[in-house]
Amino acid sequence: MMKLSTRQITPVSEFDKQISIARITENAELPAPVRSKHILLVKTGNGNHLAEGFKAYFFIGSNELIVNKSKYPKNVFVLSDDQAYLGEGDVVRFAPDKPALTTLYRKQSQHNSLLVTERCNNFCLMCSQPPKEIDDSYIVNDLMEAIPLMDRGTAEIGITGGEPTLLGDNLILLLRNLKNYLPSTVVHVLSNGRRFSNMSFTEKIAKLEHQDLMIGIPIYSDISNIHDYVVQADGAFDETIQGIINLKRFQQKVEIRVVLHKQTYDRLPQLAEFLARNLLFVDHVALMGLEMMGFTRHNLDDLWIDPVEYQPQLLKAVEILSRYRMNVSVYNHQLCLLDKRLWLYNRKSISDWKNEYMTECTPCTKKTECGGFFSSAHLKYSSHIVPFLEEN
Amino acid sequence: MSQTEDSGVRTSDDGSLLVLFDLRIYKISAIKKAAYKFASDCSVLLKQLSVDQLEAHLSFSDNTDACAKKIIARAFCNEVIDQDLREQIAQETEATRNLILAQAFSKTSLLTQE
Amino acid sequence: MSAIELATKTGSPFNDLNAYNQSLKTGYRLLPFKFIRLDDKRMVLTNEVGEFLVIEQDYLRAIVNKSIEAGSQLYNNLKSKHFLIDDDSSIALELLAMKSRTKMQQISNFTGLHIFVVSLRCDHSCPYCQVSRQSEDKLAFDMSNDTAIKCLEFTFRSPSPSIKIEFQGGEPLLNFDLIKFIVIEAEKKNEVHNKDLEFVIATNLALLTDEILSFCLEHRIYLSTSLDGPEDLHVANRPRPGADSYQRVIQGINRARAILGPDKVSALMTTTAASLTRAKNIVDEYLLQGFNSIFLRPLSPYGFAVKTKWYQSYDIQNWLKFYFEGLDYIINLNKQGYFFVEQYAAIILNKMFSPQGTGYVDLQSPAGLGISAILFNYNAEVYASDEARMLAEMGDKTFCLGNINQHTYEQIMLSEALLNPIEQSIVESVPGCNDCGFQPYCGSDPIYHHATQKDSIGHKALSGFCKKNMAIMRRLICLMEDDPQAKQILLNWAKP
Repeated sequence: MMKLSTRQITPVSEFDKQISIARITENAELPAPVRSKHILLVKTGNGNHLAEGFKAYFFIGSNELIVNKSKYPKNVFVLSDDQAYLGEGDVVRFAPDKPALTTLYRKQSQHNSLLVTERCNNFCLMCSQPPKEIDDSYIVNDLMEAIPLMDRGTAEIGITGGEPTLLGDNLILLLRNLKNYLPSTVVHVLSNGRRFSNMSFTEKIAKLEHQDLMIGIPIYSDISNIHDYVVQADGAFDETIQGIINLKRFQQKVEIRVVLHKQTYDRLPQLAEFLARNLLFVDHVALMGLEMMGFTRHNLDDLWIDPVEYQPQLLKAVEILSRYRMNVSVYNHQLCLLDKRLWLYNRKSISDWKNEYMTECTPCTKKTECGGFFSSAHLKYSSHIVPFLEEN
Repeated sequence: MSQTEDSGVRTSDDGSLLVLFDLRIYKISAIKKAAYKFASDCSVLLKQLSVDQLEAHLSFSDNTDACAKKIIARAFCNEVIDQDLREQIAQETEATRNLILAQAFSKTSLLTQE
Repeated sequence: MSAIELATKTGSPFNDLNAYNQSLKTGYRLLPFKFIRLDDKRMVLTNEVGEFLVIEQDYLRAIVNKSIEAGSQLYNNLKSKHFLIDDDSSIALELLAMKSRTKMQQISNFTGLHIFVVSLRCDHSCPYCQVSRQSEDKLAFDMSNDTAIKCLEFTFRSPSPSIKIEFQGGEPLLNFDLIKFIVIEAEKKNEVHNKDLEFVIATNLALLTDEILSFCLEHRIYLSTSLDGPEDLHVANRPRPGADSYQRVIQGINRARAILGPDKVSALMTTTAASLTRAKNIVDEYLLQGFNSIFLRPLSPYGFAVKTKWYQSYDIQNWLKFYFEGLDYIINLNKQGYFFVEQYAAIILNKMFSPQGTGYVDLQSPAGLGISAILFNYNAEVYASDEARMLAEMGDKTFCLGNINQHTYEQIMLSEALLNPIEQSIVESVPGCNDCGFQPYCGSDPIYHHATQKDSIGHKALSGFCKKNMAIMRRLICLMEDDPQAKQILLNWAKP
C-alpha cells in the first residue's frame, strides 16, 4: 500500500516554516519565474549543484547524492524510500515545520481522490474514513491552490470525505475550480446525498453546468430504518432519497452505491426491486465489497460475511437491475468468489495505492482481470480464495 | 369455512337460498357491492328485517344444482366480508390517496424544503 | 481524539437496529391499496401504482388491523412496496406521487395512433370481418385525396411527440396510390413538426408488388398482416377467389422480409370457432413462419361476426380454454430454450412491471378512444376507434365523432360522442372496477360494453371483457408465484 502522507522528512539545510502547496518536478531547467511553485525532485547526478529558486528540494532515500551541503540553497530535505513513487506533475502539501508531506494528486494515477473534509453527518457502521468533528476548513483552501497545479489531461478526479456537502458553498467553489482548471476531467463526488434534500443547494450544483459530474450516493436497504441503522443517523434514508430526487430534477448524474455486508446482503434483491421501481432514472448502480478500514474493524462481528455466502442474493439483485436495463457494476470482489454469471459486471475498482493480491493469488491465471483486494483485507478475507490454474 | 358462522344460510321452497347478515358487523353498502359482483352467478334481492338484520335472497338459474348453489352462497359471503374490508381500507387511506394524486398532478414537492 | 478512540473509551457509540425503528413504538398506517382473491388460499394486493404482493388470505385482516409485527419479513415487504407507512419514513408519499405521474404521463401526450381507412374494398371475404366489405370494383368506397389532406391536418394537431399512421381497409393495397400520397404529404408536413413519424399498412399481402415493397422500403413502412393458423384453418377463415389466401400471405411475408427485414413484418391472428381447438397448431404455424411472438386475440362482437353468428358460436370460457392452452404451450417452448412471446400477456405484464402505462387502447384508463387512437373512415367520418367504425357498419353510429369536412378539430375532440365514453371508462370511478384488485392492470372498452350490453360502462359481472382479464391476470400471477422458471420467462416478456 502506498504511503500518501509521511512524517519521515529530514531537513538538510535551513528551511522556511510556512506550509505550501506545490507541484513536483524533475526538471531543474524550469524557467526561473515558475520555480517558486515547484519542488524539485532530485534524482541522479544532480546532487552536486542544485539550481536556485525552487520552493524546496527533495532527495529520496539514502544520502549518497548529497554532497556539498554547505553550498545548498534553503529548503533541502530527504524523504524516506516509501516516497519513491513521487514523480513529475504530482501535487503535494508540504508542512516543513511539523514535518508532514501529503500527496494530494498523482499525475500517473487513474485514481486521484481529493479528501475535502473529515466531518460527516452520518456515522456508518463500516465507515472507512471515520468522522472527526474538527475545523478542517484549511483543506479546501489547500485544494483551491492545488487544483490549478494539476494536469489538464487528468481523466477523472474523485471528491471524498467525510461528507463533502458539509462544505456548503465551498463545495460549489471547489467544483467550479475543477471545472475551470480541468475542463475535460470527469468529477465523481461521493456523498450521502442528504444535503441535496435542500433544493436551493442542489440548484447551485446544477447551475455550475459542470461538463461531467456524477454524485455517488449509498443506499443500504429498501427499508428506511435498516438504512438509518447502517448509517447510524435517524431520518437519513428520507433525506438521501429526497436528495437523489432533487438531483435528478436538475438533471444531475447519480450513482447508487451499496456496500455488501451482513446487514445489507439479505434484502439485496428487495433493494434492487426498490431501486428499479422507484429510482429507475439513476445512471449507475455499484454493488461493492466491504473494505476492512476504519469502523469496520470495530464492528466486524456485525458486518463480516464471506462473499461466497451472499452470491445468491447478489446474483438475484443484478438480474433484477439488468432486466430493468439499469447500468450495474460489481466492485471490490475477487473473481474466484463471484458466481460466473456476475463476471461480466465485475470491474477492477480498487484504487491503485491500496490494491494488492494475496499469496494464494500468485499462480492465478486470471490475476490481471481480477480486481484483487484492498490492502486492508489482510485483516480478514474470504476463506474461499482459490487461484485459477491452467487446467480450469 | 368460518365466514358463515355469523350468517345463517337457509334454503327456501322455490330453491333459492336465504342468507342472514348481522348489520352490526356488515355494512349494507358492502352487501350491495357483493350482490353487484355476483350478478352473473345469482340474482340477489335484499330485505331489511330489522335494524340489525338483513336478509339476502339468492335465486339461481334453473340448471344450478344444490351443491353449486352452496358454493356460490359461500363465495358471496366471502365477497361481503371482502367488500367490508375494502370499504375500511378505502376510508382509512382516502386522505393519503388524495394527497398522492394531488402531488402527482402538481409541480411542488410534498416534503417542503427551503 | 478520533471517533474510534472515543468509541473505545466511552463504550460503543453505535446504536442497535431497534433504536432506529419508530414503528416498534408507534405502529404503522395503511397506504392506499386494493385486493382481490387469487385462489382459495391467497390474496393479491395491489398498491396505488400497480406493484403487487401475494399473501395468504389470513394475513389480510391482520394487515388492516395493524397487527403485523414490526421488522418481520412481511412488514418489511409491505413497507418496501408501499402498502404501509410508519413514522420512520415519509418519502413513500413523494415516490408514489412520482410513480403515479409517470404512469399517467402518456395521457398528456394525447393521440398517437391515427388510422386511415383508405378503402373499404377487399379481395378477401372473411366471415368474421369486422368491417362491411364491398366487392373489388366499387370506387365509391375509397377515401378521396381531399379528405386525406384534411385528415393529415387533423393528425398534426396532436401534441404527441410520436405519430403512427396506420392504413386499414378493406384491403388498403387496393388504394395504394392514396397511401403513397398520404405518406409523402405527411413527411412534408413533418419537416415542420419534427415528430417521430411511423407508418404501418394492415394488409393481407395478397396484392403485394415490387413497386409497393420498394416504396415501403424507401419510407420505412411497417407491414402488419393476418395469419390465422395453419393452411386449412387460414383458408377456411379467410376465403378468397382461388382459395389461395394462405399461399399468398406466406409468400407476401417472405418477400416483405427479404426486402424490408423481419422487424418490419408482423402478423396477427383472429380467433374463430374453428380456432378454438387448434391453439398449438396456430402457435406452431407462427413458429414455422419464423415469428417470435403471437397475439392470441378474442373475437370482437362487431360487424359480420354478429351478422353471421360467429360470435355466438363460443363464449368466454371456451375462449379462455383456448388461450390457456396456447399460453401453456408457449411457456413450455420458452422452458425448452426457445424465446417466444404471447403478446396479450406481455401487455399485462408490462402494466405490472413497467413504470409507464400501456399503448394498448383497451387496457387504458380512461379508454384510449380518441385520446390515444383515432380513425378516419373512407367517407370522411371520424371515429373514436377501429371498433367504433365496426359498430357503425352494423348501423350503430353512437361513437361517430363527426365529419372531417364539416367539423373542426375542437368540435370533434370535444364532442359528447367522445367525452361521454371517456368519462365512463375511468376504472378508478366506475362500479365494479373502482375497488377491484386488478384495477391497475385493467381497462374498460366502452364500445365492447355498448355493443354487448347497450351501456358503455357495462355491468362488469356480466362482462366477457372483465372475465377474460381477471382470468388471465390470475393465471399470470399464480404462474409467477408457483413456477420460478415461468416467472423468469414472464418477467422477460415485460419490457420496462
